[in-house]
Amino acid sequence: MSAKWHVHRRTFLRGLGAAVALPVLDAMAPSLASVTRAASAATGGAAGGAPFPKRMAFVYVPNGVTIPHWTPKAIGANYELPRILQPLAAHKHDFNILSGFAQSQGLALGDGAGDHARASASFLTGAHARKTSGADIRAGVSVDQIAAEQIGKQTVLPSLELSCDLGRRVGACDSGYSCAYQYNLAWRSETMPVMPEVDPKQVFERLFGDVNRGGGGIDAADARSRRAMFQRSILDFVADDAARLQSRLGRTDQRKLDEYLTAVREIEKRVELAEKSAPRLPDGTRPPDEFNSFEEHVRLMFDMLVLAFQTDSTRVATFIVSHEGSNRSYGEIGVNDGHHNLSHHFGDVNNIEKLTQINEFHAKQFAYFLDRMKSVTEGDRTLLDNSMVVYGSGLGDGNAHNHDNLPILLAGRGGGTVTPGRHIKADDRTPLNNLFLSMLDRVGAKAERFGDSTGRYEAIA
Amino acid sequence: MTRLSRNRTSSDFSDIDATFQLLARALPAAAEGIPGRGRFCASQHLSILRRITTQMPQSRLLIPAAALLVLAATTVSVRSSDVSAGGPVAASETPATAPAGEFHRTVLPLLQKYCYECHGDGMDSGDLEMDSYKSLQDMRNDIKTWQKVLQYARTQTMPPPKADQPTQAERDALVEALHRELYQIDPANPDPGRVTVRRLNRSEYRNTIRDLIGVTFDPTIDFPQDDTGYGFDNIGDVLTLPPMLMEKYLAAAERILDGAIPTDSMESRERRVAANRAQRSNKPSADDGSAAEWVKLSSRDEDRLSVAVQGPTRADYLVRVLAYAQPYIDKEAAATMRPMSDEDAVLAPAKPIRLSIFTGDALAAELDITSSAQRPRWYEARVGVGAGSTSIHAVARRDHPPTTLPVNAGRIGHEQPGDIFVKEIVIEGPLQGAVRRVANDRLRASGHGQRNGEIVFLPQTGDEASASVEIRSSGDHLVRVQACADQAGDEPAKMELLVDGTAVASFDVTAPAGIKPSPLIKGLAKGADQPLFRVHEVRTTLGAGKRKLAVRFLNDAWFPDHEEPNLRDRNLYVQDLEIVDLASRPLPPPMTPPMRELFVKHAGPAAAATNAPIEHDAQVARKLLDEFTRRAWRRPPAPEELDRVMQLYNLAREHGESFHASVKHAMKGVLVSSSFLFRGEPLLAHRAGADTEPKKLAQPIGEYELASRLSYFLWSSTPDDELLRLAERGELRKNLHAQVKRMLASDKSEAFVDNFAGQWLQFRNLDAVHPDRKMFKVYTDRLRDAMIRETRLFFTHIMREDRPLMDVLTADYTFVNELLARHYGLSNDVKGNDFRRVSLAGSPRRGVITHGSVLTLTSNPTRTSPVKRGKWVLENLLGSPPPPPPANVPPLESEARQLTGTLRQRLEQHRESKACASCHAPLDPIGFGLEHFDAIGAWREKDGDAPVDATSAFVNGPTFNGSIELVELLAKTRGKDFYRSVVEACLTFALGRGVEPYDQPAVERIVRDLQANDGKFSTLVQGVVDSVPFQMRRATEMSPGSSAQAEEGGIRDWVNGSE
Repeated sequence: MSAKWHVHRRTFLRGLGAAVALPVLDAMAPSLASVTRAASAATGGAAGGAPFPKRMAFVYVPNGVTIPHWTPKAIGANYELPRILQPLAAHKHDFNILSGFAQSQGLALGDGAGDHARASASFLTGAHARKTSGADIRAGVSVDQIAAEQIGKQTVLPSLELSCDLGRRVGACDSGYSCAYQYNLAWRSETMPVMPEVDPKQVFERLFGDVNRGGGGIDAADARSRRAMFQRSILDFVADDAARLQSRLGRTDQRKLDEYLTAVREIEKRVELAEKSAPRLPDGTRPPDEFNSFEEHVRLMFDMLVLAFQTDSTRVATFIVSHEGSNRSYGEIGVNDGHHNLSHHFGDVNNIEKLTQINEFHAKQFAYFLDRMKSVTEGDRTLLDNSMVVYGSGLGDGNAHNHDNLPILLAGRGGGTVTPGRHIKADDRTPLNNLFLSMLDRVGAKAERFGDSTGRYEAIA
Repeated sequence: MTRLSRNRTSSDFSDIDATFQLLARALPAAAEGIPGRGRFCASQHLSILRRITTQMPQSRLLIPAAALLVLAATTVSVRSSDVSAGGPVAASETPATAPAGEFHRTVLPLLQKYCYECHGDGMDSGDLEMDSYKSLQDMRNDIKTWQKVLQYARTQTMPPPKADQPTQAERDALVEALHRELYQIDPANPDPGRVTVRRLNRSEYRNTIRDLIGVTFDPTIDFPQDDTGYGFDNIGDVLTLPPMLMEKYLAAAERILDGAIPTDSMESRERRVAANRAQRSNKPSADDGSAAEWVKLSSRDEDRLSVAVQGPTRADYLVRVLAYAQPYIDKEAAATMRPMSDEDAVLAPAKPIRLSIFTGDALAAELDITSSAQRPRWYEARVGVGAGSTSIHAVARRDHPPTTLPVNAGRIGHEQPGDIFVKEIVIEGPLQGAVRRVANDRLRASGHGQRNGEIVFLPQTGDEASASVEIRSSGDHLVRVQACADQAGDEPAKMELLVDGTAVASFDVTAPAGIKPSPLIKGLAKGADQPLFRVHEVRTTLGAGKRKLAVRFLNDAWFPDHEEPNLRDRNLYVQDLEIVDLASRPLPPPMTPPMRELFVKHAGPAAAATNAPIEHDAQVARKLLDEFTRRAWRRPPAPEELDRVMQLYNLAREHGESFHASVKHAMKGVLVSSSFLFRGEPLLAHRAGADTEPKKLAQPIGEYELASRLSYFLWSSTPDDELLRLAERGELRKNLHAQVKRMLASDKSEAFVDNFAGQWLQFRNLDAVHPDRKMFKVYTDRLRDAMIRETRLFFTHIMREDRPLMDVLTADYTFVNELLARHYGLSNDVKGNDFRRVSLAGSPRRGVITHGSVLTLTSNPTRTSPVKRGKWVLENLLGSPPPPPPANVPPLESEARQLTGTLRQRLEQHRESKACASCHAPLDPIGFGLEHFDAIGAWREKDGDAPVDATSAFVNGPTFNGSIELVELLAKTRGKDFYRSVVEACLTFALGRGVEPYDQPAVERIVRDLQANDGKFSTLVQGVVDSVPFQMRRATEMSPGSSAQAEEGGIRDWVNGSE
């Protein structure tokens, strides 16, 4: 007569949900092609006559890496993959290792401690984060947002920001810096970081609409236009309200309302786009409600990123695998110590070993992403071929907190503008921003200078 | 060496690297080359290197400002690095006056006596040479440096250990004089500071929606996490609003209002889904608009098709499937099936294959697919579907519930080797029939039955699960029972449905509870034994009135010797009941109480139902929306604002929407407007005040704003009717104390515990901390939750009982349940899951420092961290963060020797390094005193093999042994620092901005009040509420002088390359 069992209701739900894998959407290629053609017609044809758009993504891993296990010994195409990069062996011909780059605005410059906060705040902005716990946070516009500003108008989302930091800590972050510096990579303006999305399902719904709601794909065109009309009336109303309010505010407050108005205008554009075409409804690609491990979470986010690129929902993305300074432990690979603790390894061989295992784990997830990017064909190329993906960290060696000799990897061919398969050694302390300028050129975004840039870095060509 | 930085004016920064390297080589030698004199000073020299090398780029832009300053005050010696803070301001003022009397009398002698050894007379440790500041104005121009001097002096960080120490009286005098002179604070004309308009953060949004609309909305699912500043997540300056969040606000407003005022059409619709376009378990679905195709569902793989149904209310739907069946004829395929019995290995082709229809996770119906490929046909089932979104799955299950037992090898049923082909699924509904669910918690168990979470367990014959149900109208009804059973013996479990004691139907319950799942289900469900609830349905006539519905277990059986433990005992499990009144239409879901009240108040009782045909009436709508907007915006809308709201109503009305739907559309606008999402100052008063009293820095905030500040401070939510009513009459200020008391007594003040205490003491972080569970096996989610609960209850107790705040530090009581009591090694009297207050007499624990939550969150996953514990105490309880580490700490491995021994020994070795000592000296000793608590807060006598040594000594201070002595010492010697720390944290939380120097009079005042009032909790809250920064706002936009907010546009532009 044992009454001792529990109803594993949630488990069962997951059982049904998990059956929904995330298959590649071959079926979507036709609609994609037409979208792209329309887009390239609008811009007067993409460079080099490539029929597919170029995408740009930045994947961030925290706390630097064990540099001796990251940097290849040889330079050029015939190098041996160091230990951390071994998981990427299958993709060796699809990426370059770039060593010697620095993001010098991550240095203290008189501001004392806080290298973690500065590392992530400067990584894509090239800017020196203002040291503040809250008042007047300030970094700079990030490279992805510069691209989004210029090429993002052609897609449903100008850019996509992802992260796997589920539980954000409260309290003080790194040495007197607001947590905003550590949990965001993308900065839309000097004062507005763009918060990343952490839930794959939310990302999906943002891309494709909530399938279960009225806005789903089954609406007829007139229902869509009615809905758009109602939405516009709301947006008009709130824009009017905000403009009224703004005119009576002080300067900092006006900036806050600026954020609001910018957001409203951007959504107006989206409403317009949504009215023109029914949201595509990739049934069967919905992510599950839950995931069981960090690895699954990271992979789901990568899935979403591939999906967003593949459907040309966006061309610019940033993904924080874990925030800078993260002390996450990696029980799934038997590393139960915190990542940040390990990165200050005191020279202890065991700690360095565990740290390297975490670096390998991250690389393995990135390899999964490259797999997926290559599995999508676009004409006679793959999605990866048409992309440029930076994988790296804003610290070189986490133990030393240095902001030079950063671990940087550039995957993809940028639509034929990048020659991968090499270890390229730049001069010591080459500004990372030089590389960013070259990437911006390749996606068709204009920028003369960026941070401490001293020119372009064209050795990737 | 250091002169270099001051003389260097070149803007050529291309040689930074070279300089850096040059200095790097030269500096250590230089630092070592200062014998005798700089006994405590050498460690600081590292930072000099940094400043020299990094100032250079900036200097290019700073020169003009610096030059101005020099012109303005030729007697002033200017340091290039200091200009950014106050340069422009100083330049526009008169040249610095002669040193003030106070400065000469009090400040200077003390500085000379205690500081100049390292920071004057030619010494400049840490790049600070005090006597290079020739006047007060000089010091004010470099406010950042002197702020630090002030802080270090106050918190006894300086002078460093072993140096001569001032008496407490001297210290106080120095701090006070320095403070007054530096900030030029005029108590008669206080500066209330600047509060940025603040977006509601997630918890404020959730609570506001709950109180305003009556809907529980969880923004943690939809909204991104708010950024934090100053340790709190309600800081205006960091709460940004990217477009993504705006999208979410729009979607949330729609969802919230749809939930509160459900106006979706209840008309039946038919939705056809081609099988190849439904969600599929075995293949990606097509979405290219191609025609319907046959899709194979193989029972071998338990393939399934899924379609989502979205309905506003619980209702029945008809699921129709166009299908045919094809048993496996391929012997090989059949052979891979692990046949359950010989009989099953080869199936007669005529045998039907069953298609299971699931609604969510319940087996709602089973369709016997009998037709062959030549003659496919439609099969249908009526199923009940809950409100919201439900997935309907059509599954070719591998297990086939049998009509007869016995059971083979621990598994129920046969395998059904075959394929089902489906071409189309049609979902039609909502169907006629009002569906009511009798949830599990409304069921009563009788006999040996018992309710166990989500189920009623009926172990013996005659046991019943019953409920009393009001039947609204006589007529045909469907009654559904969700049940499953443990199987045993040679017949399936049986149950009976009784109405008022009369049996109306009996069922075989074959759905298995806790069976060994089939390999595939097992793979999906992570190995857990799964119950499978099946819906059992009967159509019967029920008379109006109260009816007792009962489910009775009929055939208990007990075969203790059966080899399969799962097949020894026959039991019945009932989940819930559903009653469908076939004569009635599906009921629209009710409005939430606040919304129903609002509609009824303005549009009459008929408006209580959303499908009631209420006449459009613009006047009624305007009144209704006026009230709604006033509550939502926490102030009355201006007439022209209300006009705009009404435009939304009119637009919807013109497009044929109902009264309810049109009002709802306008409400949606209100809920995504900036006036709702942002808390700001009443703006009209702002200008008027500035004009009338131009010399005053402060003016009182309006009553409505005061109501908002109060309610978001204490409730993290919107002001309630009483607060708004008082504000409307202008009587809130008069009744402030009574209101604060009322608010603290309300349940809503739990939000203060979560948001203020949770962030101040950081126990909200515990979820994000992951002790190594292999090493700490007792650390379970339950223990973690108990730890959080302890600290919450503890703080709630202090709040509700108005206890002295010092309890936080020293309380000899706490709150535990059995689990936590055991973890703490407390007496064995605490039993069960309920928390209760217990005395800590005889235990080594006192105050929050010894709470499991705090001890765990200040540890590393595998070990304690005395450093983190010390830092936590200093930062959160004493308000004296240690000086930050130098930016480039030399890595330890470069030291010749390897650190060895216990953690404590290693830390002590670490501290011998001078570069490390400056921060670790104040940190480690506190942590050492807590070393008897391991990384999850359990008591321990040994760290590894070595006995714990919890003796310790403060810098410059007394020695102590263990937690109790530590806590007592802190309370005795640092009481004022503790009060100041709480006050600053509380003020930060209340204002949504950092505490600035000009707030010091307010802080001091509350600290004094606390000292005079036994440190009562209410004194803190009242003190904050009464304070100038809480009650007042700036009359003009920028405050003169004291604020270090000067724009640094030049540097920023350079950084971003956009000059």
